[in-house]
Amino acid sequence: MTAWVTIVMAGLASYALRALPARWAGRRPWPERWRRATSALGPAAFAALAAPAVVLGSGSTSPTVARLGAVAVVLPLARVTRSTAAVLLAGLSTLWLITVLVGH
Amino acid sequence: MTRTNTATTVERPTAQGARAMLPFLVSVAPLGLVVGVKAAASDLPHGAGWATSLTIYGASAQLAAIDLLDRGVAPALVVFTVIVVNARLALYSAALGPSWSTASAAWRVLAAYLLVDPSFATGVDGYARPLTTRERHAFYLAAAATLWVGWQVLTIAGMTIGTRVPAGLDLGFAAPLCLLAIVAREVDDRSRALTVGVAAVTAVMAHGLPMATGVPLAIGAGLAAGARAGQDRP
Repeated sequence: MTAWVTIVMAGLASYALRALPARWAGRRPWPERWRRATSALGPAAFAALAAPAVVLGSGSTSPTVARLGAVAVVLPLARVTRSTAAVLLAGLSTLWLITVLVGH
Repeated sequence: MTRTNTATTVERPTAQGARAMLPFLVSVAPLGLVVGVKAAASDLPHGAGWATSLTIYGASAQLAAIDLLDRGVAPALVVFTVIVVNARLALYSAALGPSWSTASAAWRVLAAYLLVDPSFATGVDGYARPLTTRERHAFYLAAAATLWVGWQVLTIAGMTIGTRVPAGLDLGFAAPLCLLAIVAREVDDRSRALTVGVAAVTAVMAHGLPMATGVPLAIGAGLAAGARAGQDRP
């Protein structure tokens, strides 16, 4: 029940983010400083969410060396190709290969 | 103006919009599947994982919400994290606001609900096309609706796959991999690298804190570090 309420609240908050600036901002573009600050929010949040899963293995069944190996493949590859499918396939393949090799 | 005339001028931009969305839909397909797989792997109530696709509607914010809810984090903190991760949508909204101002109130409610990274990208493209105002609105709505329908299908497909694949494959690890792929693409200077690095290290060190307070703490620390580095530049 709590999960449902939380998901609905998060949805309403997301809707406010989508709808209100369009009404309020009107015809003036946002200041550059704001634009820069909000564009950094995404990467900061993603890094904060992903790092514990990689380093501490929270919610993962793979050994540490496999998780680190998969990330070592994904990071440079993502900068070369825009294809999320290719990055995921390479990352998961590395994860599985190392997991099998270390006999986990 | 005759009826057929109106129909043909509105039909065409609709098809254009839907077609413009297709490459984006293909590129986000793995993310949609990952969200579904992650939801299936969590302890969330049946259907609640999919409900994030209806309400939150954004891969990274959905992954964050599912992860935190699964860890039993306080609702307020889940909502706060979703706001932080979805904050960029406010920028998109502000950017498209002037184009939307000519549409009806009901249309704007729907347009805002469908706003997310790919619909923003195709929307910016659509509002720059040589079409009438009305046709541009039709283009945006068709593109955004195409993505929405595709996203719902992908999430459900991911949940179906997730419940059939053995846990040993650790498909849930695809989620952090996807997030890190986005991070790797977004780091374009020293300030951004510092933001990401400090956020990651802080999140690991603060992981044991109660109610996952480490996540907002890490985001704040990362942003502060990045802002400092930004000021150092000439």
